[in-house]
Amino acid sequence: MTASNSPLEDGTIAENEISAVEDAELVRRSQGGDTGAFNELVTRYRGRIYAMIYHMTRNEQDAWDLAQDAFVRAWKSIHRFRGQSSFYTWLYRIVTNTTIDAIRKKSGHAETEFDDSMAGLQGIDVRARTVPGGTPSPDENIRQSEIGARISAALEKLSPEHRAVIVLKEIEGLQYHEIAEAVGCEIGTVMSRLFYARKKMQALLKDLYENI
Amino acid sequence: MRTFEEKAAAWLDGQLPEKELPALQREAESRGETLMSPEENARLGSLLRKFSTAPALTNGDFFNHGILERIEKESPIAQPVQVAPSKSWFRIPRLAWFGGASLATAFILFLTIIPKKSESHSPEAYLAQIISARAADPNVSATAFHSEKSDMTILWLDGLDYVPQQSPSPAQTQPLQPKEPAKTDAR
Repeated sequence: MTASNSPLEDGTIAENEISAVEDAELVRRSQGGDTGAFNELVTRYRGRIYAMIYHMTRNEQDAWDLAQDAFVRAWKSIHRFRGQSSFYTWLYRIVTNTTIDAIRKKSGHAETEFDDSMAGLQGIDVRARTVPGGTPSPDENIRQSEIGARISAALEKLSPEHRAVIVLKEIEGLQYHEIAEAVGCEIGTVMSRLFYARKKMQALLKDLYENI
Repeated sequence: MRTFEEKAAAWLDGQLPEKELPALQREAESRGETLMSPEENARLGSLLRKFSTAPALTNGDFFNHGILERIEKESPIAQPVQVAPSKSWFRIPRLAWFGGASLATAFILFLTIIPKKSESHSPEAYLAQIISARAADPNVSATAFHSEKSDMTILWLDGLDYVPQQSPSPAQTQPLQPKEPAKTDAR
């Protein structure tokens, strides 16, 4: 992924190319110990990084803390950045790893591949219609909050690795190879994780997306 | 060779070639899996995007400040800079070299500049002690110096007393007057 072709980038290609050039200059200065340049990079990407972490953690305070952790880690290792990918891709990988580690610590998930036996999904027919867990509210805001809470709860049931790939794919809109780079694994592994993550989300949220 | 999961993910994302779909469906059937349709997957994705709006990051400056503060705090304390080997002139090998050179120079100067004892300066050549000096006082001594080069002899009398002034006698006082070395032509 490069800054110029990322689906997350706003604006024209020309603007993004300029941005990439500026990123390279800011990275170069940061590598020389210029915290002012790094501060500019933080300002440039903090919104997207915060949102991405929020999608994975569903908690504003956690997203704030983890985003700061990720930027501090990026600063500490920026001297190892060789410019083989865009700075944003490189940063994305740090953010993803930081967030996965934090979720794993918080939830006590073992570092194992998710499968149906872990989730207890083997007896669930994906075609089955499910009933919403909460009482429907006539108020639209409350309804949206409830749906958001359902989604959050569903995401929390995924392993950190599966949560990362489905967030990166469905919410952040990354391609397979971009996710692989961000997560640090093979494309095949990304696709496999995506398959199981979708399967579980389908089972948990089918009533929602079929009725909206 | 892609796995079933990889092919199924590709199918949902519209990246599976049409000709591979029948094989995927057969495999799903044999595994007891029910494949989600791409349309259903799209609805799931739409739901996630619609209701996963992240709140905006407020207090961005405070966010940055926190990062910079942590960077400053967590950065390793600057290690003392490893000073490169000194380029000073005063290094032990160089001092040793110059010490040796100085000794050699001093030795050469000693051999060349300081004059050797010449035979003309030999004490035997010009010094003669007058042993049989006629003096009542044993403290009186007479020494003769002779230089062949100058063709001159100097008689040095030492230990003489002053002659009393009451009865000056030219004959007596004359030889006793000089306190300084007497100069005598020995020719």
